[in-house]
Amino acid sequence: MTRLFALLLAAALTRQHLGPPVPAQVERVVTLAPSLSEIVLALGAGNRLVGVTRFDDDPRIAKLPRVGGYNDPEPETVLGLHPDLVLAQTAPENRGPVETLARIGVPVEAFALGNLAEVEDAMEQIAALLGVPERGRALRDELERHRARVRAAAAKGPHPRALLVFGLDPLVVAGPTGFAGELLRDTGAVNAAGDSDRPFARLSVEAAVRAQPDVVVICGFEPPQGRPAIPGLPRARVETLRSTALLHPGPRLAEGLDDLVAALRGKRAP
Amino acid sequence: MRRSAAVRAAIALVVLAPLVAVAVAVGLSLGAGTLSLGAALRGVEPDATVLFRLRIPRVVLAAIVGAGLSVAGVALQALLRNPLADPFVFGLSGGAAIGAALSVAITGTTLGVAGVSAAGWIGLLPTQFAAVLGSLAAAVLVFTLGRARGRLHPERALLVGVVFNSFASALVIALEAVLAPEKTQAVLLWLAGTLGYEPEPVLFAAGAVVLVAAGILTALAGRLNLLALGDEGAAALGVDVEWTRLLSFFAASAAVGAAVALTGLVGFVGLVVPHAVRLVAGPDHRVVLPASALGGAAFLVLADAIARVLFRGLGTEPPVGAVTALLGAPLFVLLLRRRI
Amino acid sequence: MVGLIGPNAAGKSTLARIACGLLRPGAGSVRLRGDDAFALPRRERARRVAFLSQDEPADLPFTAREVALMGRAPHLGLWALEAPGDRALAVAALAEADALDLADRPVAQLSGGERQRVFLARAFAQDAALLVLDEPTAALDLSHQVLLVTAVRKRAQRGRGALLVLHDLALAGAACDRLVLLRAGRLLAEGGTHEVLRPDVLGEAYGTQVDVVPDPATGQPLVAPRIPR
Repeated sequence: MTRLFALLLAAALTRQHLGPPVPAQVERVVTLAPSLSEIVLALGAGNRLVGVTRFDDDPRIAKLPRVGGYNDPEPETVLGLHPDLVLAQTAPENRGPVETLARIGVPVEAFALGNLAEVEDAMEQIAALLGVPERGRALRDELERHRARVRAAAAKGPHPRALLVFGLDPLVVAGPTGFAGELLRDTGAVNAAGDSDRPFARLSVEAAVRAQPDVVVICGFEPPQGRPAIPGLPRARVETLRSTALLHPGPRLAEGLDDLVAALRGKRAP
Repeated sequence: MRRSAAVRAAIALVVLAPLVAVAVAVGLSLGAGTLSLGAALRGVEPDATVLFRLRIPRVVLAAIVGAGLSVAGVALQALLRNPLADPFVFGLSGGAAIGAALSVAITGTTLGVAGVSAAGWIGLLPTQFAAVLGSLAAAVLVFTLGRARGRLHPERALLVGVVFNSFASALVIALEAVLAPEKTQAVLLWLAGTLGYEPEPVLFAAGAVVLVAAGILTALAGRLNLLALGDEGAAALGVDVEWTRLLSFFAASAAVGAAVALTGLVGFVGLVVPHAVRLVAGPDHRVVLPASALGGAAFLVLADAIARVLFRGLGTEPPVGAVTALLGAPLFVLLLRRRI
Repeated sequence: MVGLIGPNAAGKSTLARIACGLLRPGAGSVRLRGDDAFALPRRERARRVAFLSQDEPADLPFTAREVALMGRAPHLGLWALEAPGDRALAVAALAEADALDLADRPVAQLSGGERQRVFLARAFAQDAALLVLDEPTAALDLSHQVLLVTAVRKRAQRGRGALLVLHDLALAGAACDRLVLLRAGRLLAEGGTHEVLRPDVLGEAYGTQVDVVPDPATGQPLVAPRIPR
């Protein structure tokens, strides 16, 4: 019974509304995560963005004012932008600041972006909020078609064992239940960290070595030069993905998927 | 010639009250954007919201935490007869850290859900709620273990507290190794101490606790003075040493708990403000306690305002503990040198 | 003015503390003006008995005046604010203990003897009927020993009794009206100075030979240890 309750609560928490109701016409949007900005841009509503985080690196919104980071949006700055809607990613660390925004009269919609289902739901729901529901459905269908294509091409093999690394020291890898792990599965690779139940898992070096990956894909940052990325895996191929596509759960995941496929095949990805 | 306690307290008030007023004025005028006081008072948005829902609550929060930690610091330094005691020395920081870490670890589980709703009912975030419970539980533990032969031995309690703090840090580090990476970030952030925006009911509750604690400690101030004569000397003058200790300890712990609920662990204030006040106003607790409350409030309000301005360009805010130490340490050294 | 004398570990300090209500005796009772000392509320007891211990803290940041004023604590109200009357009494106590010139100096900066006088002033300021002093002359030079004992005697003559724990038998003989001699926790002798300060009694107590001669000026018994030359 408690299990059901927890599941229901978890479902309820994939999307949360806080603060006053969202107006019917949303003209001014502030986003508190780059993936959310990318979703708004992909929906063709980029002109409605009035504030983004300091981590946003998309050139199209380079001129927009910055309101803070994931966990520390500055309420005065947000308020000064007179937003109709603030989009946030649900996380325990930003709960306080997000609740503050809601308390001072800013409508907030918070989305979980942990796995692909949640990402696609978010894209549709944000599209509905912005009054362009058909574009949201289009984004979802596009991503799904892309994934289907990649799965079809990967069916024949090869099926390398891979670790998708998001951090070294401590070693953080994608587990099978998060969006990164799901995309990895689409590529046909076997997730060497496949028995973890978390979307992102911390792995000891020993566990990584025992997992015996053929490929180690480092996502979104440069590994230190001059020494093996993970000690004890001299024969694993190490590929580095410099783009942030796989770090932002949103429409760019299609691009990230292609990068991943290329990296696994050994072709230098951008 | 040192004047009587009543006169010196009055002088301290006369000097510190305007200081607090200035600090508040500075705190209200500095922030992420520009604020027009006139517009705010006329009800123009967003200035009115910024003033009444953001800046005033924030200044009040800083004042409460600054006052609470300073007053607790004075009390614990008197109890331990040791000027190096800080408000967290009795294991209060360790308890808060364990509470916060456990809360972050179990949110998302059914136990966490229960905690979330309990905390929500009180108006605190689950981390804050757990941290306050943790620090108060630590206080009880340290107090109980610090007793021998029916009395509280301050040195013993101090030892237990220090050991407990170490144990708690180790436990938190071990827990972080097990937690998901984002959760580790959350715990670390909280432990560094952050000045944010809390809902009004939480501010009222914390403010009431600090006010009552400060009141109790000021009423005990004469007895705290006598404790300097030693347990025997104080007892010979009619002080119930055990009861005075117990009450002071728990009043101080309550004030620290309220501060921890609002901002996490903020160091430096509780150690240095009492000393600065003593350097200027002398050792009499009847003056030092209320003066430290005012001084601590002014200090933290100013430190917060300055931090917000200094870091405005970077678009973020540093942890409060870093700010208070960065600003306060040079100030304190200056004060120390002028005295000598 | 009663002197409590005896060899080491006789229990003098313990008895003194029991007399103040600071230690509970295993058996027997302590009566202050007829009331059971341990049944009195602490502040009332402190109004009746003042105690000066052998090891008062040395590192007090308070001034001599403030320490003397602490003696008024048992008489103060809830917020422990002193009245002008209290301050006057503290100043008078400092004068009585010959410490008035030290009034505004922090006690931590005073010498051992000066500190002792300040603590004595504190005990005087308490205005208690009974003053209990544990080895008050231990750190004092001769002139200050005389000073202290004379001040206490003057008080005793005005109706404020004193119980002094002393190891110096010559001083005990010169200063006290009555003596209580303890050894190993038991009462060995009690009475006037002439009764207690006798070679046979003292020889039994201390296990060594002493001579007792009358002081040429006062007639009080003077104790001299017999050391072979």
